[in-house]
Amino acid sequence: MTSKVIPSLCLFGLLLVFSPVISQEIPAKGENIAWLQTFGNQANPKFGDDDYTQIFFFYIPETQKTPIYLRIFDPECGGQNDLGNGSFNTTTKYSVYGGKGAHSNPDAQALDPVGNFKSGVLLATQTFSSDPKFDNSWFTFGPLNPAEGEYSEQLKGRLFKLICQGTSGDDGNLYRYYLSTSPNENRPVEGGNGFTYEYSFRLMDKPGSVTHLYPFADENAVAIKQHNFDFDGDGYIKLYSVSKNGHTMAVSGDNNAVASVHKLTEEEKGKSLNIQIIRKGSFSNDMVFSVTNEYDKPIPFFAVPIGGPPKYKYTISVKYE
Amino acid sequence: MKFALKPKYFLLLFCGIVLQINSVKSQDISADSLFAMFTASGKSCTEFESNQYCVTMNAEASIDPANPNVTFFWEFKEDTLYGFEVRKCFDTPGYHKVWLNSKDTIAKNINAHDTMLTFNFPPKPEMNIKGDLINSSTIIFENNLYSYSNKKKIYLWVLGDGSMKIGPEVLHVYRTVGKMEIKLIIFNPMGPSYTIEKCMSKTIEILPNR
Repeated sequence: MTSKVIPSLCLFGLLLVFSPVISQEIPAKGENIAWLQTFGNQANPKFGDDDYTQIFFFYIPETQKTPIYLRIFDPECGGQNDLGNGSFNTTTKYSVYGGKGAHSNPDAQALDPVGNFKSGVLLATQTFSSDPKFDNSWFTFGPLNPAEGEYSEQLKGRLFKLICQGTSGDDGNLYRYYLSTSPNENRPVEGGNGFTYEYSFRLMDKPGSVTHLYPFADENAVAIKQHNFDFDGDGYIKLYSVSKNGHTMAVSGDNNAVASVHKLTEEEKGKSLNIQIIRKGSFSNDMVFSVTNEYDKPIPFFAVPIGGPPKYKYTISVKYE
Repeated sequence: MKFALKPKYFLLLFCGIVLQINSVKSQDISADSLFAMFTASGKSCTEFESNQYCVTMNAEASIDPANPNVTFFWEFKEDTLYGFEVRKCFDTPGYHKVWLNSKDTIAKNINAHDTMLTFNFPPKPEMNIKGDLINSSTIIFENNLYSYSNKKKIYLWVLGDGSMKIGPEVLHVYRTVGKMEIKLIIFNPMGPSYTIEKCMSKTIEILPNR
């Protein structure tokens, strides 16, 4: 880990410790995202998945001593919710990692699943095909002892990694996560959170719907570079923050990736940003989104923004009569 | 160069500044001049009495140059007003809230409830007259607005016997008896000029002191 990363992790840690964050459902309601998505590794990328892998991290505060559970809704690929390409032939593998290196290994935070991105200790794994038993229902990993997560001194807590990979087939698997204290129902872990460095998701189908992504700009960041893949030119992508009121971001077309750079002001540093994706169409649209800083270091997206959604600072003059 | 002021000198300096400000204030304009302005307005006192509480808000300085395709709308409890600058009048004094929202005219997305303003309008002006309403007795004239409003405002009391006094609270001793029409005219200094903001009147009867 470079020295440039450490201060941002420190700040991130402080914010996590002192913020009443409860973002147990992924995607969170405030993000207005329909589903997480991972396609089988034989699917055409034009369906909206560029690497057939999604890596999420779950933060468990050190105050959490009792077991936690990672729950997956609709983990298989078939039946309801999922996108079939002909008959369903896709298998999806979910793997939970903890221990040293699960998050701190740079490959685990990289945008592409190459190198040692499966770093850490494998705690549990499960592969699903189209088993109707798990169609439109929950599967639970756990119990997981919080102590099995990778400890972070800066974050004052433990981190688990959950990798979802489309290991075969060409269909689209749509699913959701929940970080829970119960194996059978969704009960939030107080102070818990979830984040990813590359977000693969399905947009809401309603035209005009607005999806919110919340990358966290560390205090040393000078600029951010957003990358999006396969948005199909389906609307607008806008950047909002304390000092930006809807700056236009580059929009990708079908099966292509674009990027745009946006300089940060002093006021934006150490705060969450709000990327809004406003769509025009009503077709099923799966896409991939990531943000890096000026050193090409990926910036995490939090399910619920650290410090709350950023509010644009208005300057208003008021004259009483 | 270091400069340290001892506390006692600081206090003297502070008192001096306050005295200076007060003397400038009192010399700013006379009661006669203020009353002449009121007379020149050609309006009666009741014409300055308003049953509405109005405010103008301007958010033009909030426009982000990188995205000029944004319109603002102001969401009140009763209605919504559109534009960078809006004027809103309320029927009652006290607290009122407004949410400032913006809408991107191209993308059509709305950012609602980013900013909330709270207004606190002072109550309807009233004058309080304390003391025995008899001649040769000291009577206190007060108003209920001083604590709510800008302290720079000027309060002119027209006391009905030809006397006029300036101040949020004044004392007066009547030497005559009979009905006196009291006027309180509140002026708002706007740069070199003064605007009449409010006026209220009340009739009292001064009785003989027996």
